[in-house]
Amino acid sequence: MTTATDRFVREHKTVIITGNQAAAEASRLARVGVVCFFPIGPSDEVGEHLVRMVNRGQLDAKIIDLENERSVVNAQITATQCGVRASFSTNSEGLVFAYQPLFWSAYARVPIVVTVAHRAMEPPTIIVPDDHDTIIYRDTHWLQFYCENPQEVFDTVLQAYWVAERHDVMLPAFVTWPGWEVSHSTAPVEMPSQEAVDAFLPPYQLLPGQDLLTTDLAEIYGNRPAGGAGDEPRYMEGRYQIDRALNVNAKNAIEEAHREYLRVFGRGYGGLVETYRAEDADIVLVAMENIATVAREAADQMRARGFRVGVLKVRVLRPFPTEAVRQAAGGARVVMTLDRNPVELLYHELRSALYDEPDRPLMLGRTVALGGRDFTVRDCNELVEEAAVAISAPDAVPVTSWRFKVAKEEDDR
Amino acid sequence: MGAVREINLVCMSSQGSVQTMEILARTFYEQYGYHVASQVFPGTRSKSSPVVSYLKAGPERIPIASPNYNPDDVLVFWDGLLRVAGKRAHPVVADAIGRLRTGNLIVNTTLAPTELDLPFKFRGTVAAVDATGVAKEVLKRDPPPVGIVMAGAYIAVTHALDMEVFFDVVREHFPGRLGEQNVEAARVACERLQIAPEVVSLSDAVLEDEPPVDPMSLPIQPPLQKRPMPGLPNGDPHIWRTSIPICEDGLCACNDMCLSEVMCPDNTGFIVRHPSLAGPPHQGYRIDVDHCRGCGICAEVCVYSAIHMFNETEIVRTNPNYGGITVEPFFGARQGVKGGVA
Repeated sequence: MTTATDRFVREHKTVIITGNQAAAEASRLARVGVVCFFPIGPSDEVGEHLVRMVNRGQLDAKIIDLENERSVVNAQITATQCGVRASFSTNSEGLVFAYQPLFWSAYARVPIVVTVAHRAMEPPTIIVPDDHDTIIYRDTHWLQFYCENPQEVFDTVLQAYWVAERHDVMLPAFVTWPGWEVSHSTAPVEMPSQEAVDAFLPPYQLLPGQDLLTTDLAEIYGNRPAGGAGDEPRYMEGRYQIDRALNVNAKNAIEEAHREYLRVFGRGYGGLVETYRAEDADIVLVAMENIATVAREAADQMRARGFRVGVLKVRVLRPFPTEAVRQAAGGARVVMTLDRNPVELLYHELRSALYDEPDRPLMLGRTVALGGRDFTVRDCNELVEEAAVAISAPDAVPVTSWRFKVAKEEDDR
Repeated sequence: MGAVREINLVCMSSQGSVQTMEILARTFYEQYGYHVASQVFPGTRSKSSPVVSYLKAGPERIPIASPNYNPDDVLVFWDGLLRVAGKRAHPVVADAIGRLRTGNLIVNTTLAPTELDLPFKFRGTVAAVDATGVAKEVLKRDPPPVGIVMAGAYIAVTHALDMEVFFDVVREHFPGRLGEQNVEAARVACERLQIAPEVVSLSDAVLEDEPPVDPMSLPIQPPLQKRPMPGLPNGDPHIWRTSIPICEDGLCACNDMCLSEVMCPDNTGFIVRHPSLAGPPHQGYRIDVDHCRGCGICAEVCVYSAIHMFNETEIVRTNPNYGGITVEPFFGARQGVKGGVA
């Protein structure tokens, strides 16, 4: 039995699939051995798609579906401790339910990859997207990748496994994208062959002496895994080790993964951050995910009107790319963050990162597109106009504000 | 019509506009090698509410996947959504339907295209097809998935795509018998399609801009009361659902748990034990029709076959106490079953 996806994968290099299906296809090509599954919309399609592949014999993997997300993440951790790559996708309420094992996987240095199609936190009982459901884990020492479109979802899942499983990193990673707007958005995705993926992504290697399958479990009962982080008198040293792994090693690894991916597949998103026309920009817009798509279009339109606008897309929120942000936005006159979360995290991060710049830019924070509210290019253009006013009259515009209005495109007929 | 074709698909949740959009996108790619971009507005959780899928297809790369504010074609999966748009009860639906100025409007309705009351300014082709009827008849599934039927009608009206290419994509998307049934349903729909090529509507009910809201003027908490579903006139919940489950008194004998309740796909417990029936063995359950989509899984899995699906229209007709969403359906509707259906 074949599906449309199967045939597209076989016959075409480019396939028309959704963001969720792209994540599932990437997991398949990463040769995951365990598919962990607990349904929650809009993430459930990832698991459904993988289960379908297993049932049709396209993927040799064991399916584990347990009673809740917390158990499922624990199963994913255990599978990974046995040396098997495992996949799991969840979001908002489900991810909060699995809060405890998130810390456990980071501090036991188990490099699981959890994919997240964003959904806002409840109440109200809504399923529309914003970033809030993963940015709240910024202090769990997880890597966090944010993707803009189905193609980037596909590429980033492969890169996340590559980075997380490096022996100088060994930390878990989120790969996230907006629910519905990317997760259920069909778009062309370039799908490499299994051979090409194998050439990029080596099989998962456990650290020496860490294989649960060959360990007498009675022997280690009650102990945390070995290593700096697990040893109680060495708690502080262990946390330092993790801090270095995240903020030094992982940053280098992400840049290296980007270069390697670019070499193998000819596609890249700039590693930690992606800049667009930012070199000579007076106004730099800072955004994540598909808000950056809108910002780029706005930058083009506003440049045509004489405003020097650039875009900085923060692709990796943890480790936060402080140096890259300084380099890209430090020379601007105004930096405007476009936060898609109710706590203005990007604004605060950017403000901290640019504080030490000798001639630091004026910082403006805008909260946009929460809960799936549309954010159009016209909206973004109006925000750029505000930023331009701030160059000559900094007190004329609010430092932070929320954009409720949607400037719809005019009927041009 | 520009180089990029913009299509809005407006449905109620689980009627299938998202998957239909996916199939249309693949057909555009398959036939023309078009670039496609799409986005979804998902509605609210659990309850049946409007879902809008936006599709763009064109020869050039389309940079942004976003809502279509200048659609070329609009597919309305339930004619009640035209009323929803007209009353501006749901702003997303009002924009998705009401911004169609010219082009093609395809509506799932039992009315003729000229009988439809279009609440927006429009000059173009209106096509009407009883997609629900066709889907029930050919696919024999309840609730009827009307997506492929609507897509078939869309192609028959606009000739934007080749029908055979579309059928191939459908067959691949639904392998086996299901695909053939869907292809057949689309064929039947094309035969029964009624097209009015030149319809003019001068109404402008839809596109009044909403006044800006002061966020601080809104209540801190919404009032604790049953509110009508967003966008549905009279809060009517059962829109396209045609049957509801009813638990037969005396047949239920499970002691501790109701498998049907566990298996309900909404998982919001629309089957709830009535307080007066506390204590095992249960004599039956009350079914909260406010949440029920009428899928029938509960009836399939019920261990004692106590739950059966009944025609809701019939029950509403024979039992005036039913009263839409405010019912205690177990007590109100069951009498209707005995009197009218069973």
